Amino acid sequence: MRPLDWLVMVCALAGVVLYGLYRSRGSNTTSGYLLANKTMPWYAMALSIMATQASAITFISTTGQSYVDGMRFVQFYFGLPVAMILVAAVAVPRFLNSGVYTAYEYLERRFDSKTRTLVSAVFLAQRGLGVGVALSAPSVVLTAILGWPDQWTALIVGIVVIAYTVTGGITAITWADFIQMLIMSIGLIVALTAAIALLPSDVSFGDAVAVAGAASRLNPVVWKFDPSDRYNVWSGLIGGMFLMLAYFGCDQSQVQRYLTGKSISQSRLSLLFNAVVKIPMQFFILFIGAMVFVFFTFEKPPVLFNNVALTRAVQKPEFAQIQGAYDRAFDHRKAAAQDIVNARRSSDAEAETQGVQRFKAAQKELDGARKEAAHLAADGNGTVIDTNYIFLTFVTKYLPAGLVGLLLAAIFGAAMSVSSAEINSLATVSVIDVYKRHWKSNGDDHHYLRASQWATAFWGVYAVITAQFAKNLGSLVEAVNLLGSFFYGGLLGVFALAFFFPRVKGTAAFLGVLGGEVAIFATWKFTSVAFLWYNVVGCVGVVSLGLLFSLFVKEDTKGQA
Amino acid sequence: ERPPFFKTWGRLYTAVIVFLVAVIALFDQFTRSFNR
Repeated sequence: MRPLDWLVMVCALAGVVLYGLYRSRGSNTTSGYLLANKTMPWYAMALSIMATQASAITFISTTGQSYVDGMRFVQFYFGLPVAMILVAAVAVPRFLNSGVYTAYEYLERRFDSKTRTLVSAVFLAQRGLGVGVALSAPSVVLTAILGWPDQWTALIVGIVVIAYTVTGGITAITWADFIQMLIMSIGLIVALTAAIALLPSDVSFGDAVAVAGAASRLNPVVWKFDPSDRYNVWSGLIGGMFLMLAYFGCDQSQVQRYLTGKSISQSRLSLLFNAVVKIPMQFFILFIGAMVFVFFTFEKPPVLFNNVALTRAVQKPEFAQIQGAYDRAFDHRKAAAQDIVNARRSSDAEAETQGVQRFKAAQKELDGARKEAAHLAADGNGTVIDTNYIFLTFVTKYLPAGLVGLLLAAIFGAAMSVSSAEINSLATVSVIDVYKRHWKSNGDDHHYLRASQWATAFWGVYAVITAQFAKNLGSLVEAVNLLGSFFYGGLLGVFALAFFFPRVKGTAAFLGVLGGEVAIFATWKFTSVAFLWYNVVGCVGVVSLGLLFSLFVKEDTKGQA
Repeated sequence: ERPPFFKTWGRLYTAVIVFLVAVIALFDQFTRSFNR
């Protein structure tokens, strides 16, 4: 980090926060604070929705994933456009016409309070435990690469987030997200341009694509279906669609973005913009990873990008042998890549094919050496994750002054947009679904505005504190995510019952949710299908059981919408 | 309320689906052309 980088980073992030605060002047009612008085245009909501989904780790690890595994990760998003259409057509008009603050409030109007209480409690538990991760994850990576003390990174970013979320509510968050997405887009274009511009002068863009293809990194479509692998067209279209339906249709951290729309059509357009832009954007990010891979074919990378792990590995006596094997494999691979480039110059298809074969063989040796080094560094304690360190190593070591600051601003901005959305939605559910529903239902508007501000401050401080412990609670966080994936499908099922099956009432829906959860636990216990499919099992289970119970349960239907 | 550029919401949704199919076809062509 040079002085110019600091200047660019601080100015960009200050711009994000100050613009958000400037746009949120005068939101002094509960509706203004939590729903922006329903005045948001589609483009602000659209970028806020995208900013909320793209975390710092998405940004860092997606490029790394492409580096080690190719572009097939993009298929995970193939179901997103279909999910966006369903949410826009079905959920948006129902949520907006009913005038609710949270998705779970709608469930009480449609069913009863026990379903709403169960679902909002699950949301608070799941999001509450994960809220610190958005702050801590990028700081762990930056600590390893730049040597910044990680407690301070998470703390400073957290305090900035608390400042504008408590002061400006959702209006500040949405407009800050808007600017953050613009910075991220510029950052992505800069990163791709840099990766291509920094290639050796005799390697053209076409050559770079040929080398990335030789390494099987350019595989955005895999047709072969495998239920235990989520990166193929069918898993993406079906499993991905159910996951995105649950995330955009039932998760308050996303639902609250489009509840702020000034009309149904504005909210719909924001989701449809996401439907069209998301896949090309992910393709672009993954393509950057593939180009960084080509860059490191001609420029020698360390055996492991994770500095902390590499330092541990170097101290072992076996490391010298691994380093030797790695050096040889790198030289072979570089020579093969140069052969591919030369063969393309002389249009010699035969020589190019031979070059590709030698490249693949060298790549296999190189991967083997990296795997052994990672195994050595782990020293029997779990696995070493190297993927998250690749892109940032490239950025901080090779990009010119100023641009490093811009990309770090994009990464911090991504962390801020995710944690601000989570803090804001946790506060909204705490006040609307818990405090106002169960504790004090007769307060005036000013009372609930103050309560919302205090709840936002509480969840913000809570996020900063849990971020300090998040890296030590790795297995706990994983367990929470596992549990969360158990509930996501059930959540989707209960909303499907609410929207499509008017004959199913409160008790049948509640029993359906419990039964659906049992089905998911059974799937986890007795089968080896990928997590992505739990959402499908949960949703189908809840809907079919809810319908079944509605035949047998006598309901008191007073006061139901 | 009608969406911009399209007569009905249904037509806009159809356009998004057509876009998705076109993107997958394009990515498929990309994979076949460059991935080895």
